[in-house]
Amino acid sequence: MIKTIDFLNSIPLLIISVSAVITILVGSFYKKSTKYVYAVTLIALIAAIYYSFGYLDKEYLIYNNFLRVNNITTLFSIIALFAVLLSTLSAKAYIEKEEINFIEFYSLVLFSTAGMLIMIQSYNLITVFVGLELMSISFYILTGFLRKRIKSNESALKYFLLGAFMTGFLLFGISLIYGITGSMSYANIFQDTSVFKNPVFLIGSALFMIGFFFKMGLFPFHLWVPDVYEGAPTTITGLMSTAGKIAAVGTITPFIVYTASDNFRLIFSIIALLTMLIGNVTALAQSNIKRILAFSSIASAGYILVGVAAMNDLSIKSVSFYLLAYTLMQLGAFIIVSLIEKPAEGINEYRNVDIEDYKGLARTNPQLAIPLTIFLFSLGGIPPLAGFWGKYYLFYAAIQSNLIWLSISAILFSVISLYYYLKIVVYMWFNPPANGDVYKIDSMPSLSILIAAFLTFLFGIFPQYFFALFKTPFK
Amino acid sequence: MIFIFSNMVSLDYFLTLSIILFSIGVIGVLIRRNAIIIFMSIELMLNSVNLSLISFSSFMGDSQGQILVFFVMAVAAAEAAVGLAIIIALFRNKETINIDEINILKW
Amino acid sequence: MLIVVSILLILSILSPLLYKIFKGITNWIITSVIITSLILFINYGKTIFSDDFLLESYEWFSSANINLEFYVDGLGFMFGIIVLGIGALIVLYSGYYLKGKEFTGRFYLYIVLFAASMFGLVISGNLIVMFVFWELTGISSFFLIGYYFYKEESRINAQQALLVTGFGGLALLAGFILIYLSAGTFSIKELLTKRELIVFTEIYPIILILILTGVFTKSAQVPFHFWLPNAMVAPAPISAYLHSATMVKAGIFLLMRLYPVMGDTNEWKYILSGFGIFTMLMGGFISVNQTDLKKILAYSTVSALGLMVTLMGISTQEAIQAAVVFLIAHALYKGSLFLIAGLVEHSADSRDINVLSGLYKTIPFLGIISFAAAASQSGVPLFFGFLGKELTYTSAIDTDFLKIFLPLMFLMANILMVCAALMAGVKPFIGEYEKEKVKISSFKYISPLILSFTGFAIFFIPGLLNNTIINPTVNAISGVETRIELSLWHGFNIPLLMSILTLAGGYYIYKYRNYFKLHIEDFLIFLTPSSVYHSMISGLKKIAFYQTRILQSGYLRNYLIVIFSFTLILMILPLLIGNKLAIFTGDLEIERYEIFLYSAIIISAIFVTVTKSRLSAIAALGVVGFGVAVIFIMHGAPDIAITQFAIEVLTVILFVIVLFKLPRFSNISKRKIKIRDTIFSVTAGVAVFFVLMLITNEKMRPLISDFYTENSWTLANGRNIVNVILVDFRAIDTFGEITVLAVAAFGIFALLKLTVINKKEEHK
Repeated sequence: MIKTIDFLNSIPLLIISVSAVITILVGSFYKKSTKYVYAVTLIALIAAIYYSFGYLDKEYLIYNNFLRVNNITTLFSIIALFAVLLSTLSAKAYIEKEEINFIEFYSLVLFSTAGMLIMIQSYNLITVFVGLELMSISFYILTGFLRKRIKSNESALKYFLLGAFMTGFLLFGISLIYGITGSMSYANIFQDTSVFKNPVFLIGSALFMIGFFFKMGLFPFHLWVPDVYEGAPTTITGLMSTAGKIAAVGTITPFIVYTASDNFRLIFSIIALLTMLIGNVTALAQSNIKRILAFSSIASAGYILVGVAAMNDLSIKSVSFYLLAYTLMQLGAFIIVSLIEKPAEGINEYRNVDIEDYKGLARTNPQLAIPLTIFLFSLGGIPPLAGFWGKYYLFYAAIQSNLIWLSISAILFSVISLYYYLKIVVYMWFNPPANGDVYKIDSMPSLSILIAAFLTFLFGIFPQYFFALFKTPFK
Repeated sequence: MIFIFSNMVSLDYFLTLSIILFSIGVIGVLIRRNAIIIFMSIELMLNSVNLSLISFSSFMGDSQGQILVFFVMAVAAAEAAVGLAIIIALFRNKETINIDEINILKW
Repeated sequence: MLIVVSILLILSILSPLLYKIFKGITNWIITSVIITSLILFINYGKTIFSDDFLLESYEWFSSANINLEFYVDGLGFMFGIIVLGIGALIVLYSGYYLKGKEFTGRFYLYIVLFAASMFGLVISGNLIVMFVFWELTGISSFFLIGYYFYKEESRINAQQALLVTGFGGLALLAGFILIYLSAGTFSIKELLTKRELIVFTEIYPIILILILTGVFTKSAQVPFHFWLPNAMVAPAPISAYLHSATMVKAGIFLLMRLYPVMGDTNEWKYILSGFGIFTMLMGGFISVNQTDLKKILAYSTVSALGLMVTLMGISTQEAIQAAVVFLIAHALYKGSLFLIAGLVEHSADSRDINVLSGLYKTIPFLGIISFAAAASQSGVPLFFGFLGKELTYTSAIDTDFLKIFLPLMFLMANILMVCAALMAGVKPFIGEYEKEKVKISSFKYISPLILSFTGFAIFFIPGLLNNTIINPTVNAISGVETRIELSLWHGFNIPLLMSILTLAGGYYIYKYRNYFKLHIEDFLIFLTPSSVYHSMISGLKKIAFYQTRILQSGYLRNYLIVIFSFTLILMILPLLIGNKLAIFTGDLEIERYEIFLYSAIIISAIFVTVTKSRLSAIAALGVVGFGVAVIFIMHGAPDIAITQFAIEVLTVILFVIVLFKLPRFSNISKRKIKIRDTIFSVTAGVAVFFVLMLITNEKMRPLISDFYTENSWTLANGRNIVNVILVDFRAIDTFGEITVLAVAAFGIFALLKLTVINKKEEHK
């Protein structure tokens, strides 16, 4: 039985879902109302974030133990909502430029956000599945949103087929977990720790995790990431690589920390190591900036897994802080890339996305080059930017769990990553301009860049502001 | 309304059947080149999961498995719709749905 | 302290603006601000002398035990004065050196930012704060080295310097974290009393190696030294400031800072002196084989850094004193020599010492300054460098560590250093007069003059210097309250003899240096880490390239295969962990109609995967769906079965509609590939089958969910549990389900819009 109080305790989710439905309805009757829909979307996201802050120190199980609202889930939700907000803020300019300014765009973004929230807050395998699919299906469509562009079509198809394939495995995993524990609810699954060593449970949870590893883009399930990130509309790439990843990480991390035994630590460490290696090394050979950022996002997934593999009380803290920092810098970078990108103009290709096009950017467009430099340095883990504390905490968590070798190799790989980030910085600052183009920047995208850059600094200098959001000690 | 299979062995049959179906689905995904058939094979996999969920559910007399089955079916339908739309959109631009001919995005 | 750092940081941000307003005299303004902050800083000196240290702490990141702490003792005080004092002179010089260059405003920004971060580094009282400043020096130096960005070399070398030192910095961070885990604090003040918590842990060697990696990269020790000579592409004031006086000494600073915490162990002694000796000799040899003025100075800096590391490795009070004195002397003369080299290059258009000669006739005043600096480097009596050299020899002779060998090594290194001093500081000025007379603005002399003169003057006030700077520094490093006198004259003893030998030997090698050409560099080219660095990077790029070709082929098929294979591996791994590999042993007792049903499902499923006909594939998929629905009914779930029927019909219709728009299934792949794929796929499928079959052996536990059965009537007034759950308990899920369908529906709509648009376009 659902009580009224349940609704009161899930206001952000309701806001997002209701506004998603409303935007479709409005969209089907008034085709020209994109401006208003844009405003409604932003207001809904801001309201959802605002109300989320109220749940930080709460502990509820709502809708018959199907959703859980507590400090951790709320925190992940806030980060995800924030990522969606930032990318939506800047999306309008991009979709107008690419002439895909449809109301459905915003509705789909809102639906995917609802999926993320359901996923993050789920306390039951059923809701995990529903949330995941809601998010994924919206993403499949958004990836193919540039319908006339072959790259967009191709990436949508690849993403869709691989994603659906992995869904099959994920579901089989769920069914095995269900078969051995007799329940879909985390409350029951987590109760009996003896079952965690059962082979059926192990296979089931391995398949379950693989489904999420796929969404996170961990080696070797990362193969779709570069292709899809390159082919998808740039603002959607930004959304997928941040919000989508936050949702996946936020869902699976508590599950892993609760159920995974020490044996998993080695497997995770190896996957993390290979992911960082492949992500960072492969990025060296890339020249398309979207692909470089795709590989950097793969490497970031590897760093995140380092924190997860630690499986101690710092794991969730470090992972969530890194996710926040990652959102700021990765999304900031993608927003800038989307601004520099030129509209198709008949060629129907992504234009101006090669790093050669970034040469001399500091001279022609310092207002873009300076924030991009900040984001890249932050991605490289240079203090005092947010990315530094993110990595610091992850490696610290790993060292505390005696994974010294893993942290040291992670550090080595960060150095490799510095190489390709610096390459872009060198192109921007130390090379003569490739062309004299001065890019037009609307107020909304520049606002989101400004917010991202400001917060990158703020959380770099005052990281404790974020940690103050942890109201209750975990577990 | 739920009537529970009392025969313990039957769980194994259904599970076996479900696993066989799942494996055939996997083979289909890996062996075929046509995007549509690949997608059909994925549908097979989902069907097999439904089968195992139902078996567990009725074996344990617990209803949660059946509920998930509803969702799986709904999602499968949604995926079918979206997937086919994606395939058509690609076909319009590229005139092929053979996945071996679809590789502009690489390296 | 915070005030001083803040002043500098704000100054840095404002400096482009200042440049816009004040143009040519900006350097004076910035210099005066830096000097003001220097005076502010020296004011703190009183507290430092009375209490031995000054601690300033602000709450910063308390949950992680990281506070914004500044800790200044003798060591920090000395370094602070060097950083700010030389910084002021360098900025002054730069204003004239870079006259007429582009982006001078930015240059000031970077250099003041560097001064601020270097200053922050030496006064930080917390390891993490120190690390932050450490990396900031790297970043600002990156922009400074790349200042002449139109040169390809500049760009590459700037990146190289940041990569190498960035790598060291990260290793350092790992070391700091390990220190924290052992000692429980990042605060330097507290660490100083917790030596035994670090030195006696098992991970001490790891900590040491990590920290030393940071030190060696920053202070250009072999094998990480190569970035320093390459960084000479920077403008002269940068080379003087960063690459001789301050930044490269950050590593030495850290050694001194952590000496009481983790120094004076066997590992420490042998690693430091090993690398130090190797570095000072190699740097010395390479430096005398160079012809480029700045390269000579760069390699002799490498050599000097090696010497200081060796001294720190000796770990006696005397050696520490020698290191401190040497460090001050080196900062003065090497800074001066670099600045002079910049002026020489400007006035003679060359840095090749074979070309440069007789400049004394054109710029005599610069010659005198240069001779003074060179004399200090050579250790001529009456110059401060002499004291450093004496103390070095004395400490090497007085210790039991590496007897005889150590003094000999020092002697050799110092001889080479004398030769380098003659080549760089004297050679350009003497000899035949070739060039036209050039006029150098007298302002340009100020900075090198002050540096050289200081190196001369302080020789005569050893007492004052010792009381105010050297002794407090030595005490701070060694952690022992002792007093070593600094005297000018030790009488006729072995060190003096060695000093004389050094001068003579240095002159001899200088004179006959063409015979001494060992072509050591040709030989070292093979081993030099610079080439290792380059081949590493190009190797990595190659690996990246080929790896990408293979893994990231763009073919969905390959992606599927890779992903699936690893999924399979990850499925098997838990079984190994669970240690339970059982084999399926089911006895088959099936009703006849069941056999019929099952085989129909399986055969249709297989048919889906093999058929070439479009319609039959759809039909077969339908059969599977309906078959499964029948099983649902058998399980007593007719409602699900009905839904399944409905959805199956919907799907079939969808497929039929879509398939008629698409071409027939083509069969273009080659037979061989087909067979290969078939074999792989079937193996894969069978593997999945067996792995999953293992689970049927596991006894599932029959866990009845009481909650729903018990509460369905009381709470939700329903008897059909599934329905009750669906409509009531799971309303929110159902809502989710509906949204999924809605999304789908209108995704299709959005994508199919294309049709309409296309057709419209065709009509036009």
